[in-house]
Amino acid sequence: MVWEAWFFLSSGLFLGWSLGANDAANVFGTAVGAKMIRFQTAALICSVFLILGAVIAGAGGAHTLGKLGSITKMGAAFTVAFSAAFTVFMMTKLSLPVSTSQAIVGGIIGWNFFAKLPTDLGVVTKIVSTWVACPLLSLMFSYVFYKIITRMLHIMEIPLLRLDYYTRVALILIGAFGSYSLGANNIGNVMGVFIESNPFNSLSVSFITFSSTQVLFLIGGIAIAVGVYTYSKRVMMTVGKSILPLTPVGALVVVFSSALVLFMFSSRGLHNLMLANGLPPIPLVPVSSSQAIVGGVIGVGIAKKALRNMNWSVLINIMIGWVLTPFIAAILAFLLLFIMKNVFKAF
Amino acid sequence: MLLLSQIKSIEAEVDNYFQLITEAALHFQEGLAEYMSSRSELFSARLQKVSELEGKADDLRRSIRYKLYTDMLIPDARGDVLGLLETSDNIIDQMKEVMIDLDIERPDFPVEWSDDFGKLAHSTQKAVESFKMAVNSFFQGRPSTNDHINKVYFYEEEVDQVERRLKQEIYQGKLIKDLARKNQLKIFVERIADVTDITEDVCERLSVYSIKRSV
Repeated sequence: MVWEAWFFLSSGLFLGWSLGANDAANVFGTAVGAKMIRFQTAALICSVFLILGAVIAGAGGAHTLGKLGSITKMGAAFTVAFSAAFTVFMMTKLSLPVSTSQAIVGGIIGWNFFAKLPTDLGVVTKIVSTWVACPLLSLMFSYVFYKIITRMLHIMEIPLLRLDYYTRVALILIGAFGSYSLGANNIGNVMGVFIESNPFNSLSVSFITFSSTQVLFLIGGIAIAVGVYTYSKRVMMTVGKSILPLTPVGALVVVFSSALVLFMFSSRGLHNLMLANGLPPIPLVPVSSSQAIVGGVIGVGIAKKALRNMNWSVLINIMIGWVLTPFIAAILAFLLLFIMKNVFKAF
Repeated sequence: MLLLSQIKSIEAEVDNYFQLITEAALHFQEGLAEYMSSRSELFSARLQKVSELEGKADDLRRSIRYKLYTDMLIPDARGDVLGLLETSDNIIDQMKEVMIDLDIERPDFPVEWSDDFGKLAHSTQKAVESFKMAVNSFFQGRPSTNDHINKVYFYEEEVDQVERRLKQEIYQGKLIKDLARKNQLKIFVERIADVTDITEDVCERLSVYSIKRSV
């Protein structure tokens, strides 16, 4: 039973691993790629805060995915997560930027079609609208923050060496915040489909008690951390240079803006605060950190009036990836669910 | 990673390094005046002082380089700072070398040229002083770096004019007949003027770093 559960979870763990390998680069890529922070330091901070974010604040986004489609069979959850993971893997191999969030949403819709379950169009609209809002918000934030910070630096006249020191400290702090937000927002992609068929019980360690979902998220978080340690260095070394070359301050602004967007879409506190004040609540939805980063980079590009330096062909590739990912994942999930059910009798 | 107090101590070392170069320029100016007045003992003392300052500057530069490489600074900024330190070293080196060669070769400059030599030495010292202020502005994050760099360009132009005038005197004037001596004096004039040329080159570099930081 235990081994069977671990086997079925493996596709989610694989998805977690690929998320760690790819998306950690969104948080620490520029800093590590430009050798501002050592990889070991970045990997440790990233892993710790990713896991904390996943366990403490991962429930919101996962809940929305649950509303999109409830997968009660472990074998089906395995297949959906596998389809998403395989889509991410294939798109990465083809050098097309890919979002885990879009892959898993595509996979769940594939499940709904296969199981002849209704897909709540309201939830789909909510999710798709966040995919559009995420890069736009990140763009706006980075534009505003970049303008404010450059103005402040001009007024404050901070000595060169001290500015460098502050930039490094800020890169670490913001990297930690970005990792926390990434864990909180994206754990739903990795483990969300397994919640309904969760094989784990709650766990008490000393005075801390983890709910069964938190145990699931902890395992998913560890899988992401393994991805960070084993494979993200290569991605970190190449990220940040492909769209627009960034200064350290520019990189800071981009990471902070995208982290803030991820945090907004996963913070239950903020969600409740908006509700309490009669404002429309921010939906708790897993969004793509890659899309947030792209929005942030464009925001800095606009603020610096450097759009002519932008590598537009990379952006077009990213757009193609955004449109293709959910469709490929949905079709793949449908086909694999059919095979798993009829050939392997997995559920 | 270093603590803020350690960063401040490196800042002090960098400031001290450029202070040594400025101090050497003052001794260089005075040393040339002593030489033209044939006060060889005083000139030797100035040479001794410039050599000491050059040695101290070398030690400081190595210490700063070691600290910058081992534990701090974003690589891009580190490259700029180290590049600045290394090339600035050429200024003090050139001053020392000129004074050593004056001490060894003892070229005989006519007394009539004392004023022009005084101007040459004065403008050189002012160029180095303005360079130090430009560097200060750059390290303090102030926007006035280019104003000071422009002053360096001004003094470099002044030196160029005096250099040209002295070379014309050497070859077209009637004070010196011997071609070997003419060539020797010309070389010394050029080498003294090289101090500001090197300072100008370092300023070009500083100007690029300053633009890089502002965009």
